[in-house]
Amino acid sequence: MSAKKRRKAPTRGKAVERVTTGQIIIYAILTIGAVIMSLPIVYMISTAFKPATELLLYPPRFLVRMPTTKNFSDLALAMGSTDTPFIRYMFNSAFVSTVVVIGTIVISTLAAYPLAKHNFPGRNLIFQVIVSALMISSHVTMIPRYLVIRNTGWIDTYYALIIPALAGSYGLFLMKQFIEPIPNEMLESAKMDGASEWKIFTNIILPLVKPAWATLSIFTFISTWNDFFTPLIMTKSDAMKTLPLAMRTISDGLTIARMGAAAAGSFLTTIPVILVFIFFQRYVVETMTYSGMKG
Amino acid sequence: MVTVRLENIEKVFEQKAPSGEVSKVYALKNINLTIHDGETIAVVGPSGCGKSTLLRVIAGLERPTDGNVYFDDKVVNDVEPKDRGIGIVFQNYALYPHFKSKGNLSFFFKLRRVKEDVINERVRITAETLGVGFEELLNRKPGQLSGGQQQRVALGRCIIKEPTIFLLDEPLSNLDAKLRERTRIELKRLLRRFKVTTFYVTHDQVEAVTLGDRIAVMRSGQILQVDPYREIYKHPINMFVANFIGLPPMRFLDVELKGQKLVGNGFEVEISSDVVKAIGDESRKLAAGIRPEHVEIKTTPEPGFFEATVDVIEPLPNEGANYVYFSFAEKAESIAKTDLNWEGRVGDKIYVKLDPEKIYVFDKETEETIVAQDKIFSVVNA
Repeated sequence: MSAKKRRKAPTRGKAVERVTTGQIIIYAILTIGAVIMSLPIVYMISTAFKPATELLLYPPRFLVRMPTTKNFSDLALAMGSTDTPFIRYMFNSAFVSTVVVIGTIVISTLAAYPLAKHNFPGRNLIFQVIVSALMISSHVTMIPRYLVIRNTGWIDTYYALIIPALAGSYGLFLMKQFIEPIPNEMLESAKMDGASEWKIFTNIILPLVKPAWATLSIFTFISTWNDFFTPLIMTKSDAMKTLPLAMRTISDGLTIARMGAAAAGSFLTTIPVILVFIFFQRYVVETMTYSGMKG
Repeated sequence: MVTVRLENIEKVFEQKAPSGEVSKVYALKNINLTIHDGETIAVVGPSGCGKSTLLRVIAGLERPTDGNVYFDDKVVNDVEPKDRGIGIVFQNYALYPHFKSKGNLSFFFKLRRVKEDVINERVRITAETLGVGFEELLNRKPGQLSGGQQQRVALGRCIIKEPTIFLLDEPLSNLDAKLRERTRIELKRLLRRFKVTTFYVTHDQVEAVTLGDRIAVMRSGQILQVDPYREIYKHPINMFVANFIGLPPMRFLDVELKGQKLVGNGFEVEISSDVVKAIGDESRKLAAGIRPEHVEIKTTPEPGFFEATVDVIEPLPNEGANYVYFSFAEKAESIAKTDLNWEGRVGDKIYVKLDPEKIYVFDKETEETIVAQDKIFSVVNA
């Protein structure tokens, strides 16, 4: 018998989904949109690694040709010329942002639950008053806030940076909107099972609002981390400055030589925000499209 | 087990309009009802009639504005829902989506810090009670279950507590027709097995008939009649109950008393002297009705039969019958029941006779029943 080569059975790969023209167009548009949205960040990263020769080019070059880390060492030098180490500014920003995020989540969730699920006199009015604060810019309330903090003796302390940021109406609004669709029958079921109000809150409500926490964490962290104005008003000493304020101080009265350092500083300031967003961003979609309990 | 008694229960909700005006909504009015030990009462009525509010008052989730709820001889108005020994199934099941099915069943015990082995044993017994396939559901979360499976878990969560009262708020309404039928029989089996005092809310008459030892018909916050189905079907207390109970719904015909006859538009029916006496006054505004099975139809004219036209024929093979909807004169219509072999067609002329001994007569102004087949209700003459 001739050794016939055993014919290999034709491999059946994964069924290829037909891609329609419409899908190609949509993906193309979305890709272009994503590229455009990422341009500022790409430019910032590129600029952070540009040598002085490329920094001063006109018209400006978008992408760096000869990357260098000299800007970072210039930044370290500039930071070294102050009495406060760079790490202190990082710590202040990280500490304040983290405490504000945790505090906001706790306070917003605790406040939102009775507003969403309990009927008491004045409930609607209280909510409307709190939410109407969303219409007021923080710059409008800066002076009265400063006066309150000053009278409390908290100027130039962490309290000044943390306490006023804790009870934000955005957090309350988000948590209330997320808690409201939870069916009342579920809470009543827990009540019939013998759960106290606290047990209902911790065993039923809290596990269900975790996606909303992620969204709230991102928005609160970003706004607190990037907040330049509040530390500017509420702090006096160098040691209490947060990173954005410290970076701005370095950038102010800039010599041309400091432009690279400022770019490097902006890059370093933005990294934690990007990382937080990447980590939590999938929960944002879940929060926004959350349709409540199924059947 | 427990006897539940509702005495003069009233529930008023206050509603505030955007203008600030406060109006009162009477969700329950003067409810008096006794559910005997081990009995199942099926409560039917249109949407918004107060069935679920009444269930919630019994559960303790709503406090009555007035009146008392008794479990045996004890007033329980101030007793917390968790202490009333109630097992409840909500219309949307209200399962905890973040717990697996086993977690849903055991939450009641976890709150009481019951030992794990005791919980496991109770879950095992409940799984056995609920039949084949239930154990497979235990490790899945509600989001991974179908509607029917969620319903079984909700029932499991109800019975695992060994309650003395079952409160079921339209538990089958989210199921498709086939599954509803299957689950209805299963539920009947369970109710018979546990012999627990049960308050079953439904808008489905078939469920009410299958599951209820007695049926309570509600409307606008009031209980109109509480009786076994046969009694309500045969002797409804007013036009609403007559129309609501019985499928298809009873059609009403305007009639007048003239001598020994009820005369309507295009027909007349000879009635007994007892009925004439019960009606009393010839000027009284009356409505007549009849159940389809008491309407005789022929295809050729005969004395005592009046002419009508076939509008719709609805075959019901599982009942072995047709419902023939016919009309006569202006805006007068009724329904007859024939066997499936009946050869008539839509548009055909037919000849109809209403059985005078099975006729219903109502006072059109008060809507109360004057005569229901063989029963004469004592009513105040208009």
